[in-house]
Amino acid sequence: MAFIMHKDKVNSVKPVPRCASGFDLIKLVALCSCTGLLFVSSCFRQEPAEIPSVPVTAAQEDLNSGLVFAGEGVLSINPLINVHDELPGLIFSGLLKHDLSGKVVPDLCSSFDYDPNALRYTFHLKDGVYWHDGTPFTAADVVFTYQKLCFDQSFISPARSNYLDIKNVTATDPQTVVMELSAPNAALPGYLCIGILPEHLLKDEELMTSFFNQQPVGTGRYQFKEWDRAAGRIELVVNAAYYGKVPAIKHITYCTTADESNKSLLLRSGKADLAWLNAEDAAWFRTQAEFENIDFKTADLRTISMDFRTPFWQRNRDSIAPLNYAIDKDALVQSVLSGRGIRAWSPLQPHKVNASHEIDIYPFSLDKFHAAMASLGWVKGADGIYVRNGERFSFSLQVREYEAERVALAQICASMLKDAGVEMRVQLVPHFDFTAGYNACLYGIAAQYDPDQYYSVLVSGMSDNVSGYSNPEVDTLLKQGRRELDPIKRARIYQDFELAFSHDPAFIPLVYIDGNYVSINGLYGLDDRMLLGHHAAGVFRNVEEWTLSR
Amino acid sequence: MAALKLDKNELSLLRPCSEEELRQLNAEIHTHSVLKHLSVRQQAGLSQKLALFLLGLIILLCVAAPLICTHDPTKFYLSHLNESPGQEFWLGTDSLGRDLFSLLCYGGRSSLLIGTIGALCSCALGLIIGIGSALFPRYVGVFLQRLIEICQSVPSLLWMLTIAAFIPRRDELTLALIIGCCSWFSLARLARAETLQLQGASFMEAAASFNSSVFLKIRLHLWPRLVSVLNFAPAAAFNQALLAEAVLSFLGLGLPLEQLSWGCVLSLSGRALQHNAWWVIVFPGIILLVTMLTMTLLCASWRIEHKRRCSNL
Repeated sequence: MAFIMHKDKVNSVKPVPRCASGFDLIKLVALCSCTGLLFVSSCFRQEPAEIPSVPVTAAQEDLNSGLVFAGEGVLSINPLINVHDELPGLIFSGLLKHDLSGKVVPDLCSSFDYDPNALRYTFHLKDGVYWHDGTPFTAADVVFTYQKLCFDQSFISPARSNYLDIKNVTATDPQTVVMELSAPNAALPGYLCIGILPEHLLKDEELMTSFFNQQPVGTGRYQFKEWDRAAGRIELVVNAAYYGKVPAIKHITYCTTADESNKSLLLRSGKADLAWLNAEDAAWFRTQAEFENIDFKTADLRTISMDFRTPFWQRNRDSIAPLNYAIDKDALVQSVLSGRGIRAWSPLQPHKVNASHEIDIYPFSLDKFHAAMASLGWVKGADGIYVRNGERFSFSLQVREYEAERVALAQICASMLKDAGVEMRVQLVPHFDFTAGYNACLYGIAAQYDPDQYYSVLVSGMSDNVSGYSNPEVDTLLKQGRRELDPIKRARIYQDFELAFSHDPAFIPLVYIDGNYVSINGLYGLDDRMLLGHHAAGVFRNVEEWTLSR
Repeated sequence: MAALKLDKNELSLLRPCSEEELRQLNAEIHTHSVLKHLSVRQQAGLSQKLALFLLGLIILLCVAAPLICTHDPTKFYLSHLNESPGQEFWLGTDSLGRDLFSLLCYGGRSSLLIGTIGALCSCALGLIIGIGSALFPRYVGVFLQRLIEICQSVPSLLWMLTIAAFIPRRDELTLALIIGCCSWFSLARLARAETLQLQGASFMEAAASFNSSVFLKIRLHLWPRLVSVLNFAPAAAFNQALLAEAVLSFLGLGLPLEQLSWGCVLSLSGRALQHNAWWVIVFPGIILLVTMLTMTLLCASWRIEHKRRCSNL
């Protein structure tokens, strides 16, 4: 038999509340106790005692006057290994240095003499120069550095080819260094600006793997304090015992932020005071009152650099130069660089050795490109890509993924080349790998001081010739340029080099970028008359003149 | 069903009822239940139709991209950088002057393909390993169980990043397989749990008493019941694959630069944020969201239709 409730009673039955279990009761009591305690404690809270104002210490003042710079990624702080970065220039000093106009002037030496007959430099070192650890700087340090740089077979610096003419380096006394050359070298004084290493710390060390590269000791304007790898911050403090003018900015924090967008974000969020940005990112700051844009000219050239060790270019080297016709470089400047740069047609444009532009022989012209390709035996295939001897004109190009400007240049060039009938496959990589078989890379290179800076990059077998480029005519002309001391004759040699290079280029010059620095208001002293180098490096050349008021 | 607990007052209200009264009450309850069920069905039907329409529209846009798009998605319109939505560029352009509408239409082809293949791969692996770990003899089952636990102990995204870092050449198929191979873990666990529950059923014991093979047991007894329970899995896997492609592309580990996908378009949003180009962030986000939502709705409505009463899910 089933049972049901009376219909009218059904709605009148009140729901019986569920009995709280013992555990629930405990929880409830605990919760009430906590709430009660909080309430009571808030009611009887004592007014805090007046906190005495702490006087701002000198250390805090120093910290407030510190500059945070969003810079490039850094692996090593050693001037013999890191030849492009800012940090070695802040921590180390060279025998000589470049002034703001790019002229070579004494730095660690008080004076130097050159005997052209004996091919001998004599450097008279400054008195009272100390390493950051307090050890006196002597001629032995100079000898040690150049012995490592020029003659140590276990350590090959990318800059070694710049010092091939040094035959011998000796110290005649603790304050005098004699450097003998095997041949005259017009560009050598500029290369003697390279930082000097401390012998007392490195004489028994393997230079490539030494901890010194991560905790360097120099004689420069700033001394290394700390490298927080997790946070990506390198702390520098001013070298109070510096032999020259001591900088007014007491601290520099160098943020190792390679990613271009991150640098911009650091500035916007107030986490950085100064950064070099790409043109597109810098454009936003031009409208912001709390920031200042400082635009430098640079010798920083962006190129499509071929890898001549790959079979594709060994077969098709004759077809590199015509690619210049197919790329609208003015459009690259206007779009990717927002007009902040110039079209590139020669690696030596900043040096104006060829002011008449007579070697600017590759205007943007698809007609000329097609004519050149036809004369070389290329025929368009069914997919619109040129084919010769059964091989499509298709090559790969590596570009670092964190460099948005280079990625954009690569993408647009690939699109332009595709319209012309050439396939350039853009591959993003975390870092350049010259052994992975990529046919090309979107390369940056700069020769801001002397045309001879291309010697180590373009002469066959030299230390920085990563592309495997070899052209006997270019080799001869660059060697002649290095030997020639007469500036007029030297300029003519480099004109001939430009012409020879443009007919058989190692790379397709695309654009020269501007150095778009952005700082917070209150940073003074940056001199935009300087011509900057690769990655717009060299801005700290006159850091001792900078002031920062927040 | 939970037992009805009544106090003394309520018990006093109880009285014996006749068969007729009981029939009437049952009829009332049934009518109420049917009406409620119909209402749910109608709601499900409406959302199903809407989801079908939206998904169809998105697929149509992707498939018929060459007919619909007015611009070449790979072309850089260098005089129209960062242009907001307008007559010429319906959804605007990115910082390199590419038409966003064309990028989304053509990019959807890769994304939908990756989503589909990734989901198939994930479902296949999840079901095979999940059912296998519950059905197969001791050592194989334990091995598969440990495999699931090890795989699930590391987040799927980390697996994907690790595998993607070791595979230099990536296309749609490779990416879909990477995603599929790294997103089956949860499904395998569910399939295992459901299989273990069904294994205790009397029809499975009967099948075992007739010495039925494992495959016969799966085909006749397990599969029809598992399908009704796990039919949300394709949608979840598809959504996960779509999202994973976007995340990998955003991190630069997705498709090559020249191949378009929604993830590649979304990866532009980081820079767009800096240039206040809201359209580069909003439109790809909306299309990704709508696609995932429609797939979820479709599978949810399908599940309502095939709902099994005795499921533990």
